[in-house]
Amino acid sequence: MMRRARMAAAAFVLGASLIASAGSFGWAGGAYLSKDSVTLTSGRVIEGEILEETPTTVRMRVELYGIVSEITYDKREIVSINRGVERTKEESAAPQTPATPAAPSARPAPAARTPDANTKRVYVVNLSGKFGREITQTPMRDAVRDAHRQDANVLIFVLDSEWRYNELEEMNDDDAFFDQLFRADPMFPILREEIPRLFGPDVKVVFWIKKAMGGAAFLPLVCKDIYFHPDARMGGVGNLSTMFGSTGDEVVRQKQLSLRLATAVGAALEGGYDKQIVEAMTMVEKVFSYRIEGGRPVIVPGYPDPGRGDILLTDDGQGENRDTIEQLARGLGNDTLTLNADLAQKLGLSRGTVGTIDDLLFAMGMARNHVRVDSQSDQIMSTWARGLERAERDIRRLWEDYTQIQVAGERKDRQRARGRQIAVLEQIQGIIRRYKESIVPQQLGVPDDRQIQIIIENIRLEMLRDR
Amino acid sequence: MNLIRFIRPLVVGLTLAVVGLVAVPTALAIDKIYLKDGTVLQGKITEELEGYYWFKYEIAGVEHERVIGPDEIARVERDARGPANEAAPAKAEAARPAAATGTSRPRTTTGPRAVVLTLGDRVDNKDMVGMYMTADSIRRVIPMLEEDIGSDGSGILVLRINSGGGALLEVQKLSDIIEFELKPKFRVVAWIDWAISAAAMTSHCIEEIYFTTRGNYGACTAWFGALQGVQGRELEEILYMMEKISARGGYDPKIMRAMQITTPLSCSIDENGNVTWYESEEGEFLVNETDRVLTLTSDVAERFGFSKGTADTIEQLARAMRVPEVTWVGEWVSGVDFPVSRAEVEMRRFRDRTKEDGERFNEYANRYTSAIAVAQSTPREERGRFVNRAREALGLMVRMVRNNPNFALFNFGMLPKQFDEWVQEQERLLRDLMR
Repeated sequence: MMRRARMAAAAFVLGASLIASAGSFGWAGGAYLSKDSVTLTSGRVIEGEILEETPTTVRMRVELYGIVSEITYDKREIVSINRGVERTKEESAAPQTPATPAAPSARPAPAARTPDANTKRVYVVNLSGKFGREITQTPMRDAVRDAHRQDANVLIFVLDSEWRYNELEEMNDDDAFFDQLFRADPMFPILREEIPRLFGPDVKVVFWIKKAMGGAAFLPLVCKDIYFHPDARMGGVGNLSTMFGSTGDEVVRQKQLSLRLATAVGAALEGGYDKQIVEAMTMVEKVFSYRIEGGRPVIVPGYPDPGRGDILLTDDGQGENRDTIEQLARGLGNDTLTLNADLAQKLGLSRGTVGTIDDLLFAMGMARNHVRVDSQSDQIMSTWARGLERAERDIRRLWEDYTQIQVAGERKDRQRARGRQIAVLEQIQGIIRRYKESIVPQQLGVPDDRQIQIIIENIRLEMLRDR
Repeated sequence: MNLIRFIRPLVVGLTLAVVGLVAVPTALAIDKIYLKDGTVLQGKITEELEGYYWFKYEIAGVEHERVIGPDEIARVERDARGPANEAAPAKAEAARPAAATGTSRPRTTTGPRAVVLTLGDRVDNKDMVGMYMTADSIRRVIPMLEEDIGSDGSGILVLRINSGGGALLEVQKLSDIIEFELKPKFRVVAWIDWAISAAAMTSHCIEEIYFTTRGNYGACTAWFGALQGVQGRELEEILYMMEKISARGGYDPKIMRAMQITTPLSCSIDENGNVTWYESEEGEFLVNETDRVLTLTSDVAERFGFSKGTADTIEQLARAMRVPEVTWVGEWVSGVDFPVSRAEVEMRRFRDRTKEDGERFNEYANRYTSAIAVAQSTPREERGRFVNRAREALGLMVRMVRNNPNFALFNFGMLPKQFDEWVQEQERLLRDLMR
């Protein structure tokens, strides 16, 4: 509630300043807003100007608390569309009754100019939840495609990965899951290839880090524009040297380490970042220092040379250098590197520290020349997350149903029961296939897709055999 | 016979190296390119286009060519004596890259024809050497490649490698097919996305290697079971195999050795750009620490002349290959960043089929054995449906091995010939069940 009130206040303040700027920019749209309205299935009536209508969407310019923004509604949300007459300048100048703040239109959109060639169409994707589960390629790709439909040219990924053992226990900086790097594999192509292919070379892709721990720490590296939230942490991958323990031979462990490190470094090279940042984040025995030369960071291997003004980044974590529990509890360990906002900026990984999306847009130089076009984004991400939860419940329930089906009685009863078994198993398969990137059936006590297929085959054989 | 086959490329390679050492210094003008990282390259600017310089220079007595982009260059100093430079603008005009064609056949013949053939697909987990990256699947597409880019050596075959490694037994077969069946017909180029272990060993016979920015190459340690390293005589044989393959590609064997075992690798670069490799830390640049296994990243590979350039798109690759006018053969397909040729379609089909068969193998086997078991316990007059079901499952397994003969070994533990005999035996069993 507090948060909402704060947002509204912020929107108002921002809006007030933008009304002034709208005048100075000579915004034509405000003078002749037509009185169109759409009635949503929720009962809300949105007033504004219909800019475009396609077979599936309606794009409107609406005004809320003095702030003009563009919103695209899916026609499935709309009950009726009323196209009104053009208003006069005077009518437009009169105070407007704001449209009922439906979720999309309630979002403050700082731009108060007519979208033109210089107006950036900003699409924000909130990547929150567990990395590899809620933060995963399917909803990410869906959001990117929606951004393309909305003709966005700035994509902002807000990364806030969950870093906890369970609902009660938060994980620490020194907890580490380097191998989640490979869970990022199916997500990298969206950033590397699919976005440039869809949007062209001029699209701007930005990561705003709130929490990027574990595999999530690698995802933004392929992107050239990273900003940090003041409380952000990026790390949780410092177990590369130790993850294989004493299993097998040292030379093979070194092979495994080598290929992993090089893969992570490859991502940093793509983003144009110093690869030693990745080494410092991942390998406990590596010692690095840094200094600032001519305003630029210089990272050097080894302990600091005080004469050059070096500052220790990571020590070797051995003996007395090993992080103490006091340091770890305060997030001040330096056996491996966990980036905070300040350090990330000093090391050239972060372009700046911003506390809100508005601050971010300001930092990016587009506070006054953008429109938000991401009304569907949160819905896309939450639909996946809710679907995933439901899928897991359904899989467990269906498996229970399957085990309860008794094959007994007359032949036709037996065959019917087997038919039901197959139908239930196929339903489970369908769900597993849909959410296969985030669901491990065995963790739910259910066989995987292929094992289920073998069970189905055996039931079919039983049906043939049962005479 | 085998020895002669191995020696011949060595002799040819040595001969070329000697000719190069004698001829190049007199031929090269002394242009200098000062890079932003402080490196000064001396050699000859051969072409210039939109701020990009095609630069010829020597490393370790071997002539290299590299395309240097405007964002890397601090300044350029041309040798006033260099007559070639006057011709550069005219050449540059002709060098403008042609757009890729949208058809499966080349529309123009002004530049060399080129095809990208992917070996391995890491994102879809279709990348294991020996399973998804096989000599047999490459051999199958050679006729299509010949038809599309010719076989006179002018066509460019770009092997885009994206694999985390796999079966060592396939490495020699892959190396041989590249060396003896592809290289004589095409200009073979490796474009490295992810060449780990057996995938790097496969690529190592190719002289012309380019990396993507994210590209990795190395970690070639042979192992089995729970991270057990291959040791003793077997290890020596693998090291020796890679020494010979290094010679095919023209690489110092110390580089591959540092990828296979924990051994140091360093190098020095003299004022002429020649790189000397050391299996110690005595060189000026430490490339691999003593107790580590080497995997090259794109920056290191390019810096020390292992790769001939870094490219993330086919346009960048064409510039790096110094082929400004190239006709990429194939059709633009949604989701793929290069034209897809018929050979590439076939390679993708092969991997898809292999993946499906690999995942369904247990299902095929279970269907077959269950149907046989039920047939055997069923009165003869009712066996037909079960025998048919078994026959259908056997057919799936035969198709699986026909698509990828290595399934015989990996899934049935048989050589292909033994698999054929096993199939004949099963067919006999099925016939007997119906008698």
